Amino acid sequence: MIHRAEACTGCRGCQLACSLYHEGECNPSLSRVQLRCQGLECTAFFTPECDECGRCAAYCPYGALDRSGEGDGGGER
Amino acid sequence: MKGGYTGRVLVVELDSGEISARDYPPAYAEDHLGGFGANNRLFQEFSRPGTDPLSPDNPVILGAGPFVGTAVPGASRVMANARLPLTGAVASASGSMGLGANLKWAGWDHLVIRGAAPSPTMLVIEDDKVELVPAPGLWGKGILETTRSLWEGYPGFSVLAIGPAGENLAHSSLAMIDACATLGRGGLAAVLGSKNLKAVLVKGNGGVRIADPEGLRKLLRGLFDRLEKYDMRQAAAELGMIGAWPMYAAQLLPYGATEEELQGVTERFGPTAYLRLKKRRISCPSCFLADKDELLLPSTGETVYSTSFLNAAIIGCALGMRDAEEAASTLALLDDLGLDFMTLSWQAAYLLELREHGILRGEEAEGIPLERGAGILRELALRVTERRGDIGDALANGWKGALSLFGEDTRRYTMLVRGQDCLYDPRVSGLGTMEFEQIVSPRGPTSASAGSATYVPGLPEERLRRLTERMGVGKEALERIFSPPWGLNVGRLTRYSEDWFSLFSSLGICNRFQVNRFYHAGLIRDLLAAVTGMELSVEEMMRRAAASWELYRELNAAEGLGPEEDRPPEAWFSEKPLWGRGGRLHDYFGNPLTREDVTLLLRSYYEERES
Repeated sequence: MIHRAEACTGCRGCQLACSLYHEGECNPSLSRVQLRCQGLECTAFFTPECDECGRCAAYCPYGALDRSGEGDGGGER
Repeated sequence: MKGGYTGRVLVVELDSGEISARDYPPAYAEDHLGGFGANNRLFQEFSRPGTDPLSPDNPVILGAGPFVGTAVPGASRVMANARLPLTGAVASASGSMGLGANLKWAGWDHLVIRGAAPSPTMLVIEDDKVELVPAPGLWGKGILETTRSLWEGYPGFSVLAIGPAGENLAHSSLAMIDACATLGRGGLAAVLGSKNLKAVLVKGNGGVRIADPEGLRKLLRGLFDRLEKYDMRQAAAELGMIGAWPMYAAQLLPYGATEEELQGVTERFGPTAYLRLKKRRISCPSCFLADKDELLLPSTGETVYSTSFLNAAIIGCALGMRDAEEAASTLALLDDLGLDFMTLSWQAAYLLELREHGILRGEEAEGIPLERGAGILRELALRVTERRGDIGDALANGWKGALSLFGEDTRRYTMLVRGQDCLYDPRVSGLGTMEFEQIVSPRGPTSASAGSATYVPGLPEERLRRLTERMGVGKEALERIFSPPWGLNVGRLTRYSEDWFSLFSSLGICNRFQVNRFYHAGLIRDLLAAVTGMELSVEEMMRRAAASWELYRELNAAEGLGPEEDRPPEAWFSEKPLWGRGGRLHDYFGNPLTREDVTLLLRSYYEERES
C-alpha cells in the first residue's frame, strides 16, 4: 500500500473502514493502517496483518492511498 | 444499545477535583438519540435556571452522538451545552475536528464539567485515565501556541483550548478545537475561563461498537458510490467550501454591488486567491469535505490554520480588506485570541456606522482606526481581548456593553436578535430557513441550525418540495409548507429544518450542505439501525428529534427567553445599507416581504411547532 502524505487530510476514513471490515467495529487502534501524526500532519504505515485488500484506499475521499505504486486505485468496497 | 453509544458519562468537579463515571441513562439515547438531545437532558439535570453564565454553577456539557467515531461520513460533531454570557441563553453549540471522536474512542458519550478550578488547569483524558493538570504556563497564551505546545507533550490528543479573550471573560469569545474548529459562539470560552479551565485534551485508544457491521458496510458502499458521482466532488476536494464560491460570493456582496465589484471580490478572495495561500487541506474525522485549511502567508512565511478560508473571505469582504492574505492573517489573529470573527467584524462595522452618523469621531475612538480595512478589526480584537479602554471593555461585554456605552439609540445601527448579531441578511439572500431561524433560535442567531434546501439559491418549487420531503417531512405538512400566498411558507419549513438539525446534531453528522446533501431521512433511519440496533420508523425518529428541539426551547423559556424574544431586527424593514449590506426584504423567490408578512410567518412557525 502507498500513502501520499501530501494528499492526506487526516480524516481517518481509512482506519475506520479497515477496522469496520476486518474487526466489525470502528476502532483506529485495531486498523491495519496506522497513522503517525505530528499535530494535524499524518503519515500512514501498514501493520504486518495488512493483506492489501485496498478497502482503505476505496474509502479515502482524497486519493491519498493506493493499492500499488502504479496508482491503480483501491479494492472493492 | 448494541452499538454507537459507550453507555458512560464522565463527570468532573473542578472545585474538588473529584472525577466519576456514571451510566448513561438508556432513555437519553432512546428518547433523544444522544448528542444534542441528550446534552439538553443532561443540562436540565445538572443546572438550575437563573444561574449566572460565569458562575461555577453553570455546567459545561460536551457530548457526541452515536455516529461520531464511526465511518459514517461527516459524523464528527461534538455538542457543548452551557448558558452563555453574550445573550444569557442556554446554547447547544456545535464543533468538530477530533474532540468528539476521541471522546467516543475513549469510552465516553458525554463529559460534564462542573465548578471552577482554583487556578489555571487543564483536563486530560486518555480512556479511563482522567487527570486535572495545573496549566499556569499556558495562561495568557494564544490558542495556536497553546495547542501546538500541548501536541508536543501529548501527541495524538485532540485539544479544546481557550485563548486570552476567554480568560478575560469576553462575551464574544469562543473555544477552538485542534486550533481549527470553533466551538461556542457567544462566550463559551468565557465560561471555561471563569472555571480556570484552559484546555481539555482527549485521546481514545478504543473504538465504537457497531450493531450490524455488514449492514453499515452496505450503506457506506452506497454513500461512497454516490459521492463518486457528485459533480462538485473535485471542487470540494481541492477547494473545500470555496468550491461553491459563486453561491457564497453573491451573499458577500455589498448593497448595490455591480458585476465589476463581484469580479473584484472574486479576484481578491475567490478560488485563485485561496490557492495562492493553500498549503494543505484538513479534515474532521470521517469527512469527505475537508473544509479546514493550513495556509502559508507569503509575506511572513508563517503557517496558520483556518476554520475555513471562506470565513477569511467573509471578513475580507465585510470590511473591505486588501487581499486574501490580509484577511487570512486577520482571521488567524482572531482565532488565536479566541474571538468570534462574526461578532467582532459586526462590532467593527457598527463603529464605522457610528462614525458615519457623527456619533463617534476619530479622535474619540481611543486609537481604533475608524476606517474600513483589517486595521479596525485587528485593533478592536486586541482591545476587546485585553478589555483595554472604555470601548474595549464595553465591547468585551458584547452588544449589551456597546449599547450601554454609545446609547440604546444606536441599536438602529445593529442587526441583533436576543442580543446576538445576525449572520445572514435576508435583504441580500432572501428569507430562507437559515435567515428566519435567526429570529426563533433559542440561543440567538447562529450559523448552523435550520439548514434546508433554501440554502441554495434559485431552486424551483418542485425541487424544493422534493428536497424537503427527504428531510422526513410528512405529506400533510408539505401541503401546509408549499401553500399560498408565498408559495413557500418559510415559518413552517423552519420548524422542520430545526428538527433536521436536531437529528443531525443528536447523531453527530455535520450539517454543512455539502455533507448533508448525501443524506435523507430514510438513509439516516437505516444508519441508526445499523450502528445502534435501534429500529425506528422515519416518523418516530423525527418525532424524537423534534422533542429534543422542544426541550431546547423549554430550557431557554425557563431562563425567561421564550417566544416573546423572537423579534426580527428593525434593519430588515429598511432598505438602507447597514454593515455594508442592504436591499429590500424578500422571500426565497425574490418577492418583497412586509413586516406583516414576517408576523404571519412567525405565527405559522409556532402553529407548526405545536402541530
